[in-house]
Amino acid sequence: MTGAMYDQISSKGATLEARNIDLSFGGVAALVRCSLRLEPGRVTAVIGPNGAGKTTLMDVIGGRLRPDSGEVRLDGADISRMPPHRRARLGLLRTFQIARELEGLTLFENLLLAGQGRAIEHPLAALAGGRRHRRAEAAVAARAHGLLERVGLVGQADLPAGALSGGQKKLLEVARALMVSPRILVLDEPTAGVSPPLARVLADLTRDLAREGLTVAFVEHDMDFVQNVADHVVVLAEGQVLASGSFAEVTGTRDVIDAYLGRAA
Amino acid sequence: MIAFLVTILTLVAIAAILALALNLQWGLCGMVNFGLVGFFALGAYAAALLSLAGAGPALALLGAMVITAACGAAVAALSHRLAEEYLAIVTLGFGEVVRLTLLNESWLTGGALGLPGIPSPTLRLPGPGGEHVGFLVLCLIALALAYLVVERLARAPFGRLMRAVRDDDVVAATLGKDVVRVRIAAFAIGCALLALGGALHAWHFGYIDPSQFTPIVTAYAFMAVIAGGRGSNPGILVGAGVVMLLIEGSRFLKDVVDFVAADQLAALRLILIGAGLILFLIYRPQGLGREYRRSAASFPTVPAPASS
Ligand SMILES: Nc1ncnc2c1ncn2[C@@H]1O[C@H](COP(=O)(O)OP(=O)(O)OP(=O)(O)O)[C@@H](O)[C@H]1O
Ligand SMILES: [Mg+2]
Repeated sequence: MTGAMYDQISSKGATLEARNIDLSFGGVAALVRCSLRLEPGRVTAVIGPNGAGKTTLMDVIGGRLRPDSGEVRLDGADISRMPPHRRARLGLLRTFQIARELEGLTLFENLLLAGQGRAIEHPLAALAGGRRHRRAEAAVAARAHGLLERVGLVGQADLPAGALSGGQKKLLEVARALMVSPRILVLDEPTAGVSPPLARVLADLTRDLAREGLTVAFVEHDMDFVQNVADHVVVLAEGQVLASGSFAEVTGTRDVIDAYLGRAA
Repeated sequence: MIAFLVTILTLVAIAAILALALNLQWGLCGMVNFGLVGFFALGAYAAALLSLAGAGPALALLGAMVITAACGAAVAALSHRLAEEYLAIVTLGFGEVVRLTLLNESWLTGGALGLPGIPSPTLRLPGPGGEHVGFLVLCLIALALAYLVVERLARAPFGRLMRAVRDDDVVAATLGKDVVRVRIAAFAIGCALLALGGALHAWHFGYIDPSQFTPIVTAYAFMAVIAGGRGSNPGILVGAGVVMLLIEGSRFLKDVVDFVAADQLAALRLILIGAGLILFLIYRPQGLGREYRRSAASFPTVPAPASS
């Protein structure tokens, strides 16, 4: 029964490729010839110790950081120089490690904002009014309500987003990104601070989205979540890809165990 | 007494328009405008010069609004590469440039002597001072229209867009919003409203000179927005009224306090206004009103919450 409603969450997934990314902050090399390939219908987990460069890689993909060298391609097209808002319009959506809610908007308004199209958010549309715009806005509201039901936050819809708990804010971010009809969804530590039942909701949602063909990637420290949700795991350490493959393959690797124990080469 | 009241109400209406404009720029979109008085002056001079050149009031007003909005758009566009805090400096600089231009380009602006004899529109109402009441009615109509525009923008999807840019522009961009365009639009619309206030000011006095456009005008607008509640248009109407009543009402201080010299009294007035604002901020830091938030159940497509 739930299936029908969620057909509309995502459009068909897209392929994203980051190739040979180099990026350093001053003298600190955060990413070193780092490559990552995300594919439709596949959930990729990026894991690695603290400071490995996982968030930096997500920032490069989302366009918040420009790499020193290397390129980012979406369905083959080079988007390396594209600003974040244009990447989002192509369906590349990301969330933040530390949730960034729009605190002055309610939870519901956070979702409305993400879902409202450019035609209805034009200032002239505000002055001209019009039934067509009102109907479009109501459709966005219905979709927002559906997503809040899915993540179990209907009761908090009208709360200012700043008043939500840390875990609720993380869910808000995921739901908000889904309002934009993503083709590629990149989540930075989606379960951090999220209670176990809600983390399970998130796991189911992620799996459903991938089954529908969405391209999903996430950074995560919770290994149970990684094992349950990811099809493909990439291990990052000191800005380099150390290993990649299935969860079992990757966690059996000597290098990976060393990296987590702090004995990386 | 009636004449005095009419004058005060006219000034309150103009101040309220300025406060609504600032609320759009700063209250809703987070763009601090310390050069507000510069845009106000630009609008006043543009409307005055056009009126003096024989343009009708509608054309003069339209011209003033377009010119000022274009300058506002340019300022917003030029400062988009700078960190947010720098907009304060850029707008402050803009205000100063306007002031110096008005003083020094006497061939156009009359310099320090200003522009006298500005023809102004009014409604010819019967009775003594009917034309003043008529002008007040025009100002109130302008205020009502300005309020409607700002409130509609605030409640529309564009309002959410402005508030999102204010709260976190990185998030707005991450969701596909063109932050620079939103800022330019909000700032330009606000500047058009500042020009409306400027035109009414020029018409009201019939004479303008640079000494009427001091930074205190900017300060009053900020006071009105802070007292009224950032983001809340109804609150700001009240805030502007309260601030102007404090300012104008404290003129009567000289009748009560007759033991201080006039120049000291002027300083005392400012101290009192400042103290009033501080007390207000201590007891009601969020201001009188709260910005509009669209509730989920207000949409026909969203089922009402089960409880209540
Ligand atoms: N803005 C910045 N300026 C300077 N150094 C930075 C900046 N952002 C990250 N770094 C450094 O780059 C390296 C990679 O950081 P990053 O945040 O990508 O790690 P991470 O893998 O996400 O870690 P965590 O698991 O703790 O989130 C770290 O050494 C970090 O200190
Ligand atoms: Mg990180």
